[in-house]
Amino acid sequence: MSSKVVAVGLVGSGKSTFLAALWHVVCEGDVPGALRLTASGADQTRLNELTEKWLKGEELDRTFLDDEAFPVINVHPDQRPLESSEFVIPDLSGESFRRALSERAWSRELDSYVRASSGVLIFLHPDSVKPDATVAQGMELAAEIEPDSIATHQGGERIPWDYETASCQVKLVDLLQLLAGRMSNQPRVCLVISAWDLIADQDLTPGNWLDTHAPLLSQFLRHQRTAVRVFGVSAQGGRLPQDIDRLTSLDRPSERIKVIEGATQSHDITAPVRWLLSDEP
Amino acid sequence: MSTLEYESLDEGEALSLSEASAITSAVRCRIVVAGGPAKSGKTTLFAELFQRFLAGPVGEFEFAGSRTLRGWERRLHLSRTASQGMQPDTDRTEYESPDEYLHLRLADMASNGDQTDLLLLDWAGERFREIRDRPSLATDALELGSVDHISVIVDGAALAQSGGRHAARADADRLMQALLDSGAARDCRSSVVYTKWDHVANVGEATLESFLRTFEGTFRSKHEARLQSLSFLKTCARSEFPTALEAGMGLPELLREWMIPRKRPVLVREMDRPAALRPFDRFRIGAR
Repeated sequence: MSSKVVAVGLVGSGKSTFLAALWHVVCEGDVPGALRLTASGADQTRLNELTEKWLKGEELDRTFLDDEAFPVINVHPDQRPLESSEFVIPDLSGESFRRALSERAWSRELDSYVRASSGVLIFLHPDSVKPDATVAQGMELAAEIEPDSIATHQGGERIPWDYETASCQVKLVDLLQLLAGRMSNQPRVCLVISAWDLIADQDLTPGNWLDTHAPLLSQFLRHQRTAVRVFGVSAQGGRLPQDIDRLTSLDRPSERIKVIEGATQSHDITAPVRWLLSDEP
Repeated sequence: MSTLEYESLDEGEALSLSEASAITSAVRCRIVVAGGPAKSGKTTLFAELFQRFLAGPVGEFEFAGSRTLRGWERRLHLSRTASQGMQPDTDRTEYESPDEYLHLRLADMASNGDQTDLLLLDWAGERFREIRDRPSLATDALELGSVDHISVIVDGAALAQSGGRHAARADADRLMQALLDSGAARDCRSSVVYTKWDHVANVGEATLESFLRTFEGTFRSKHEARLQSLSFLKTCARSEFPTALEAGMGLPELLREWMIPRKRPVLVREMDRPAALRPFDRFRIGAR
């Protein structure tokens, strides 16, 4: 196994918490069937700092995430240490991807990560896919609340178009198309819906949630000529700071993690990466 | 990222002719021209079609990709609250804009998800006015045999006003006449698309019943013989009168029409043509 997986996502999509929990699980080795860390001798300072914050239930501030690129993580399947693969989140803050979409360029370093990868792990935070509010809806709402407001409101100057305001669904499709365009083969794609605990009470599978709340992205993924899977992942295990006592009092921190695919649930946060590295359909 | 060297990425904006040509070689393609006066709702029709896909499939078609995502988003901006506009609007397509094609890759769920590219030519109304007035311009502008479907746009807001409806009717008739006389639309599939139908519904459709029956009958008798198909479709991409009609009315039906393939004659001479010159490569070559 010599595959490489690149993990991408927009700002605030849940990559850092995922990485913190994943680093804990691959190092700890206490989740049956999960990927394990392959010794590499690489500097692990930043990953250890990240996971330390996760274990303490601390939120990750922007400065920490922006600081520098994170190293490649070498992992192997449980019981098969010789089958090592690489997993990398080349930009933890998501800033590189935000700029790539706005400025239509990314660094050579990021490009080389992408070109060398055969699988893409892409993150979506559920709060980021609220429907785009239209002017017509705004006018209807204003008319309901204050019927005279439409007649009397002069309106301000129109704000020029900026891709930053584009629909999150569109940006993720755009990002996936850009990534696929740089890779030699159509990549396997795994979508992680992060902060799954925030929406778990909707009683939907991750795939059904995507159909309902991000229909454009769902349609797009359905029609790619490649293997695609959708996971719901709660890497934090709850809300911070209100759930900090519950999260930090568990005997095994790995049990904070919830990974949902279809109707199955586990603590194996490596499952999305493991599937990307496999040849399972 | 420490390096300062950057790799350029696909722009995602509306496509030039040469960029659009590259698409057509990959999968099946439909090229649609929607022609009509300035501000008759052509770009809004296109933009709202994309907006529908953000909320789900449109009719039997599902979204499978687009090379022009930024182009779509740019055209939708003035309809969203992010623009801080007080009326839903669409930026006018500038006369001097280069040819701009908007792209969708669609999966037909009524046909096992087969994928087809749809290219929509987004031209300013003034250019269609020029063609209407000087049909020979269409010969240069629309290479024969390239366009699958021509929609002539009739502004429903103009129809709703007694002072505007005859001009709107005559404009559609003259434009189709010019497109057919020049050969540009000959043997195409075609439609007359009424936009902003909420304006008509607002004044009462019954008031236009006789007018439209006469218009459609005359239009058919004059033009239908030179077209592969001719349909009349009522649309309301955005509703200014929310109580009158639902926004998006008629768009699934219009998309279905656009996606029907044009029957093309098989020409022996086609085999002599260099591989790079597929029908779409010849689209508007030499124009402007």
